[in-house]
Parts: sequence; structure tokens; C-alpha cells
Amino acid sequence: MAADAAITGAERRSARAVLAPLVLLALMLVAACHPPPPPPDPSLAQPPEGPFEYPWEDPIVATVVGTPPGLRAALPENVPVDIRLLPLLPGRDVPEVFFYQRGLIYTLSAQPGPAPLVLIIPGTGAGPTSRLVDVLTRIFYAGGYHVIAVPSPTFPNFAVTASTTGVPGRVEEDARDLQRSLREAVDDVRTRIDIKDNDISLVGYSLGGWHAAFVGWLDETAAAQPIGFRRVLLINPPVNLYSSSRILDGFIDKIPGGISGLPMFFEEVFKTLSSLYTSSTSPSDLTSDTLYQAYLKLRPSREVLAALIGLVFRLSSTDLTFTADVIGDIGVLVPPEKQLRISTSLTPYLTHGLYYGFTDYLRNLLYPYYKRAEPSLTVEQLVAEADLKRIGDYLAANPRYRLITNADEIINTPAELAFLEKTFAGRETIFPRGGHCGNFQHTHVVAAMLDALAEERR
Amino acid sequence: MKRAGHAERLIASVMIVSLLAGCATPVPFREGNPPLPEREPATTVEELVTVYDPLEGLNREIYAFNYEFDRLVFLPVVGVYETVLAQPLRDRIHDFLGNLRDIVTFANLVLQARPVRALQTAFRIGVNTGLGFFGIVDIASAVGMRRESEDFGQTLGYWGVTDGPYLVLPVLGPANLRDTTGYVVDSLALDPLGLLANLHTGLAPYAWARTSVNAVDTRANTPFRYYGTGSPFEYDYVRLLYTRKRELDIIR
Repeated sequence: MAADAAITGAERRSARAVLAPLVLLALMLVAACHPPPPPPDPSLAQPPEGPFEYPWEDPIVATVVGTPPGLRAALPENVPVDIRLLPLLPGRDVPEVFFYQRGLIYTLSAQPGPAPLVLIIPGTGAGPTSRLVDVLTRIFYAGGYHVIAVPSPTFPNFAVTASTTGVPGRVEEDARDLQRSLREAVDDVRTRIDIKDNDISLVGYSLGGWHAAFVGWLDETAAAQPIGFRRVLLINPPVNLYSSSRILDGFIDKIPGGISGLPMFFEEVFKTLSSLYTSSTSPSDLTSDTLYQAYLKLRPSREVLAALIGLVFRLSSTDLTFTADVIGDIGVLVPPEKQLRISTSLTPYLTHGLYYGFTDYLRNLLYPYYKRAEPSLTVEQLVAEADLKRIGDYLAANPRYRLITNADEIINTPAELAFLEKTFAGRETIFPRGGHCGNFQHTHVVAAMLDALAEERR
Repeated sequence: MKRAGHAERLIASVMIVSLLAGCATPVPFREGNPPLPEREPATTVEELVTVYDPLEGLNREIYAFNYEFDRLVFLPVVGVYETVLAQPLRDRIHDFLGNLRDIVTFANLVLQARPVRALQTAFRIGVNTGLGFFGIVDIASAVGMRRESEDFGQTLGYWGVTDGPYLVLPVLGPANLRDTTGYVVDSLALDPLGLLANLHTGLAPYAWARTSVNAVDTRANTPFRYYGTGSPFEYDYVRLLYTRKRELDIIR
């Protein structure tokens, strides 16, 4: 009997040894079948205690490195993001080389129940899946909003699929194309999400903030089919598109020799980063915090950081120059008769296009394009048009508008900052530090963003 | 009591592994890092963005094909895989395949004559196979053991073979002649399952099943999307960065 029992016990144990991992697996399977979307987190909107602390005195460092992990708000990681397409502009003939531009890309982050909706317009050259849009999406999703993001008109996808001219950069046309795209996106999702009280707000950062101001103005004063925004929030906007572009274009000269010095600069940066990569302990070390860690380790000079800002901006203007050149049939980089196939090498156009900053885009593409139909048009006129001051009185008198920016913003002159402060007086939040969009994840800034869209202002 | 005994033994083994890993992690010397092969640094923008790409037209066509394949076949299959299997189960498959992949890394470290890293890799395979239920739990990574990633393309590069023409492979994506050769050698000769399947045709279905699951697992864990950067020059950027990154992989 005793012996029998012992054998049975051993068998049971071995059976348990086999079953235990299986049961564990089954439990994990059940537990993870439907990961729920993160619920709204009201603590993010609480006015944070203590003064605004932010370590980077230099706005250039702030712009590149961003908020250190210890000062960041606890944003949810697993926000659902559905990437969707709106149909091509009717009648748009897409050249073969852009065969993959099948429609306007936008993203939807849907709350499970009824909720107000936030629409996001990104900054220069950014699409709806860019890093800062992701941060804003997580902020407003955690704040309890559905979130939709469209591309900036300066993003190639927008130029090909949604820009009426194919040559973005003129404010009336861009605002009209944006307003139409936003409206179509909202209509497209109405069957999928429940927009509580039809409550829709518009948020834009950087160039997108500037666009948001004009889209809100157009929507209220001139749109045939208005969307109707409860709030319009401008984050780190330029005042004049081209004066800000000139500042950022100038950063490329921080590379010794300007863009012609790019090879040397690239090899230098690559060598430095590669030493970091080859000495890291795991091949998967290069993650999202890498930039911050790399900064702490390498402490690059402000010249190098400014050059990086200039380079990122230049890659955007190169993309836009090529795209607008092809879609608008301008012929600056690509001869108009040239047929670009999938198999056509674009390398020569990249090499040439890297010499085009946004200022060059204005002079050599946008201006000639519009001068065809308006012979008396001047470059100065285009520059003067692209200015928030044009709608300054409207913005000053409109209680729906909010502003968040930084005192050390690099894309505005002191006079332009003064204009913003005066125009949005009482509806503005100006942080002492953060450079250009360098403090988005900061607890204080997150709270300010959510507060700006809140029903009642504290 | 019995359960407590099991738990104690498990904790004890994990502690032993952590201790061993702790000893093994700081490599006392950087074993056999060859110097970066002398490449003439680019002096003009044109030189910088140019990579030897004699089949560029075809490569760009295949790049476009891969986008369509991704969109119409690969990503939908990944979607089904992610819907049918929960994350923890997919993680077990991922870890199991990673343990098999470590064998290829081990073989390549031997071929690169780097014994310290080869032994570390052998040890991590042993830990994962023995304590990690035949590799389905990557205990070695959990306790902070370094994971190398070596393939035969890197081994060729380690011994001085240059990359040759840039290639875009159907489904697999960016490569060059050296790395394509390496991929074939890895799959047929250095991967144990591939090798066995070559010797016994009866094993071929298992090898194919593994290759298919491996492809889906790899795609599921690769965030890259064709034309996802939004730049019309994405092909050029991918070509440049792929080439430079492989140089680093070889010397790392």
C-alpha cells in the first residue's frame, strides 16, 4: 500500500510538473486576450505642485533632448492607434513614382464610449505617426478624448493626396485643404466613435499651431461646411511662417561648410554614435530613451545640436521640394517632361534637393507657381501673407483660442513673442524654458495642455 | 510543503544563474573587435548618398513589390497571428526561435574565432534550454546575460569580405551580395534544423514550418513599414543606413 501510494505520488508530481507550465500558459492566454485601452487618467490634468523645473538653460539643448525622464508625466503606453486613409483628391493624377500614396493618411485613437474629440495638426514635414504627434495623442487620450491626427500640409503624403495645388505653403490654400481633410476625417469616423455633444477641439504644434489658427478662422468665417471648434489650441506656433523658416534654415550653417559639409558632419556623428552602439551591452539597446542617454554620455556642443535641428528641417524641405516639384509640374529638380517610374533612381534628385531649404522652396517653387496666374505677385507679398498678425484682431477677440509656448522659443523673435502674449492675453501659458517643443512630456506642460481644452478655466 | 520545496529550488536555480550571469557579463577585454575596414570617407553630398547599387532599377521594383506583399499578405498574416495567439504565447514562440537563432550565432562566433563570446553564447543556450523549458522562456536575458547576434554575412565581413552590390531581396528586404550569401549559408549549413532537413528530407516540413513561423515572428517584431517614413527618398536612406549599420554589426 505504502509503496503504491509513493508511486502514485511521484506520478502526480511529474504530471503536475508537465501541467503547471501549460496551465500557466493557458492563464496568460486568457488574461491577455483583450488588452483594454487605458482609462482616462484625471491626475494628469491636476495642477502640479511646486515650481516648473526644467534643467536645460539652452533652448537648443531643450529642443533636441526634450524632457528628462524624471520630469515626464506618466502617459499611457498602449493607446490604440488606427492608421486610416481618406480617398485621394478627386481628379488627382498620381505619378507612378508615388504609387504608394493611395490616400491621405490619418490616425484615429478611439475611446470605447462617448467622448469629446481632439484633432491634431503636426509641425513642419511631420505625418500623423510622428514622435510628437504620438506624445500629444497619448496626452489627450489619457485626458479622455478621442484623438484624430492628420499630416501637415508640408508632409509629402498631404501634398500628393490632399493639396489642391500640390504645392503647399500658401496659407489660404493650405487652410482650406486642411479644413476639408479634417472634416472628411471626422465624417469618416462618425460611425466608429461617439462624439459626445459633438464637442470638437483643434490642436496644432509648431507649424501646425499656425495652421490651426488659420483653419479655425476659416472654419468660423468662411467655410461652406464648417466643423465648429469648441477650442483651438496653438502650441509653440511661429508667427510668420517664413521668418521662422529663415531661422531654422540658418541652422544648417552650423555644419562647417553648410550642406556641402554634410559628408564630414555625417561621418563625425556616425563615428560617435557607432562607438556608442558597438560598446553597448545589447544589440537592442538603441531605444526611445537613447537620445537622452546619448546626450548625457556624449555632451555634444550646441553647434552640433543646432546643426542637427537644421539637418532635420532640411530633410523635410528636401522632401517637400521634390514632391511639389513633381506634383506641381514646376521643373526645378525634375525636368517636366521626365517620367518618373518606380524603377527610376531618385538619388540625383536627393543630392540636388538637399540644397533646398524652405526659403529656397518659397523663392524657387511656391513663388513661380503662383506667379503664373498672378503676374504682379512678389516674394515679399507671400512672406507678408504668411503671418498670424493678419488675423491678430480675430484671435485677440476670440475666447475659443488658447496658446502654450515658451519664453525661450527659438523660432520667434522677441517682437513676435510679444505679439503672441498681447494677442492671447489671459488665455496664454508661457513656460520659461523648453525651446521649441522640448517640454511636451513635462508634467506641468501636460497639465496645461489638458487645462487649455477643459470646459471651465480655473 | 512539496510546493514550497519546488519554489525554493526554482528560486535557488534562478539565483545561481544570476550569479553566473553576473560573473559572465562584464567582458574583461573587448574580444577581437576588428578595426572598421578602411572606407574612403565621402567628401561630397553625392558620394555620401551613393551606395554601389548596379541593379538599382530592379531593386526599386522589388522594394515596391515588398510594400505590396507586406500590405496584402505579410501584415494581414501577422494580424491574424497576433489575434489568435495572446502576447505571452507569442513571447514564448519568440523566445524559442531566439534560442534556436543563438545556435547560429554560436556557430558564427566559432567561425570568427572568438572563443569568449562563443562560450558565453553556448552558456546562454544551455541556460535557456535547460532552465527555460527548451528555450520557451528566455531566462538568460531576464537575468541580464548579454545576447550576441551574429550571422554568416558578419562572419564573411569579419574576415575582410566586402559587401558587394546592394540588393533588395523579395520579402526579406535590404541586403547585399555578401549578406545574401551569408543568409543562405546560415539557413542551410549553420542552422541545426536547416542542416538536419538537408540531410533527412523527412524533416523538411518541420524546417519549413519553423521558417514560416520565424518569418511571421520577425515581421511582428519589426516596426519598419515600407514607405512609412513618408519621404520620397526612403529607398536611398534605407540603403545608406543598412550599409552603414552592417559595418557596425561586423565590428561590434
